[in-house]
Amino acid sequence: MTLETVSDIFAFVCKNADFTNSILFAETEVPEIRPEERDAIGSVERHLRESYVGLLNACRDDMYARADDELKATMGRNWNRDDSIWERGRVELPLLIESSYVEIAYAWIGEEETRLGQLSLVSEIWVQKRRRGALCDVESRLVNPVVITPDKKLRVIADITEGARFQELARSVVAPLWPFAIDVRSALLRQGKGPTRQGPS
Amino acid sequence: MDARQFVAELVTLSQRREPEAARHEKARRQFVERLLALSKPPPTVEREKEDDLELFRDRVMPHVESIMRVVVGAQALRRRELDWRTRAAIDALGATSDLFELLGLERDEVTYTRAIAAFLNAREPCRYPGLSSDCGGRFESLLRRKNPNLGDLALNRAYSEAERTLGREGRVDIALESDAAVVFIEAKIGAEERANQLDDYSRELTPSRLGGRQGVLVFLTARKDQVSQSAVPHIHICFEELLLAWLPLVLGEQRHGDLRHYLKAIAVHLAGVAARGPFELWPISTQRACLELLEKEGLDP
Repeated sequence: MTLETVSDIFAFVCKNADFTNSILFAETEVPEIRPEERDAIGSVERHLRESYVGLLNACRDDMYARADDELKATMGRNWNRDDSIWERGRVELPLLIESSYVEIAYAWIGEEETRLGQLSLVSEIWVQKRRRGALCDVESRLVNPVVITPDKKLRVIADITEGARFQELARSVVAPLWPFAIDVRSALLRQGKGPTRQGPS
Repeated sequence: MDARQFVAELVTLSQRREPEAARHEKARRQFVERLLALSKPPPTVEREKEDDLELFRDRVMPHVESIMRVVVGAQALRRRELDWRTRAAIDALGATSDLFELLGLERDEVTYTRAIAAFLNAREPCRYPGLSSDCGGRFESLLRRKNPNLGDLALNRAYSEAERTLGREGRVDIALESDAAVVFIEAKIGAEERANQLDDYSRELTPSRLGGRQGVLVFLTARKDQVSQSAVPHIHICFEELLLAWLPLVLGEQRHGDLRHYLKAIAVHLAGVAARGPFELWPISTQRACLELLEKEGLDP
């Protein structure tokens, strides 16, 4: 069965950063937890993987649906398998060869400086440093919720909450960013750089 | 079904002629039924999955705070059991702010290598008199642990330069020169090694160019598993090892602030064994990574 909404368990995992990082996704065994807790934690791995990959697949589908034929072809050549998405925690759309891409990934976003925060869905447009001229026009037209980060990325963030539909979450991070992605691509094309077979390294 | 048996039956069926096939109709039907059974998921999977989710809902979700308290307590006990030097090293990392992130340089390879060149330069114009000799000596000890056959390199009295152009061979990240050795360091943080990169640099370390000194090629990486494909002799070290080699130099109140900031950046962004603020506020997974590194590898003497 293909998952389509955020379950209570997936939402719990997104909200409890320390638990998720230090126990659920611990790279080494955590000797302090009891056997029955270990069993219970092990029993949701498949569900979490399906949720995690399913949401990113929904994001990629949303981008694909918006893309023109040329971008569709580029995406098609860079189509990651579920295993890769699980390992990398992201999907991406290369806009132009080695110079810009849209990436949608999981990130821990928190209000407190020293805490990991909430696992959130983050979409970003990244542009190579020497080609950031393409961002100049875009910057002045940014609209909420698109923000520009100190390291010059355009970013949209969405909380992963119980009951949210994957499609809606995907739309919420792709739609506000999409016009800027197209503008950045056009500006880069005017600089004379063609589409690519490669994704970001 | 065993794969070999599957293939054997498939071959047998394909070889049978029509009159014989009629004779083996029963076997054929059984074979097809087995194929159909294989194509279906095990009937209990969905039910088991449902049950497993309930297990998590019952045993973990309501008790997450108590589970975390046990784990946090265990980290605190582990930290208390460390010797004073190691605890002081954790304190030094915890008390230092993360300037690299503030400046957006947390993965900037050029910044990291320029800083190494500055810390290793023990000759005029020397920015860190005394400290550079210590950094050079400890760096040499680290190289010798990797290759015990190295002679005296005198890196505690070396001149160092970042991004030295080597003619047509390219530009090496750091060049160190002492009376006894020439050391080239190629660093990788995010990027992969360029084709023949170390081979190219090694041509500048041939005896005719060294004036009787030793030539050493070092491949310094953020990832431990990023090994060079080059066949030329070189020493592979990672930033985590450099961290352990230089951390003892910053123990104690406010010693060598610049080096502290640098090691904090390595610990946070390249080694993943520290975070913002003091140890108590680091994510548990980071605390554990830090403790495991220090317990397993230990600080250099």
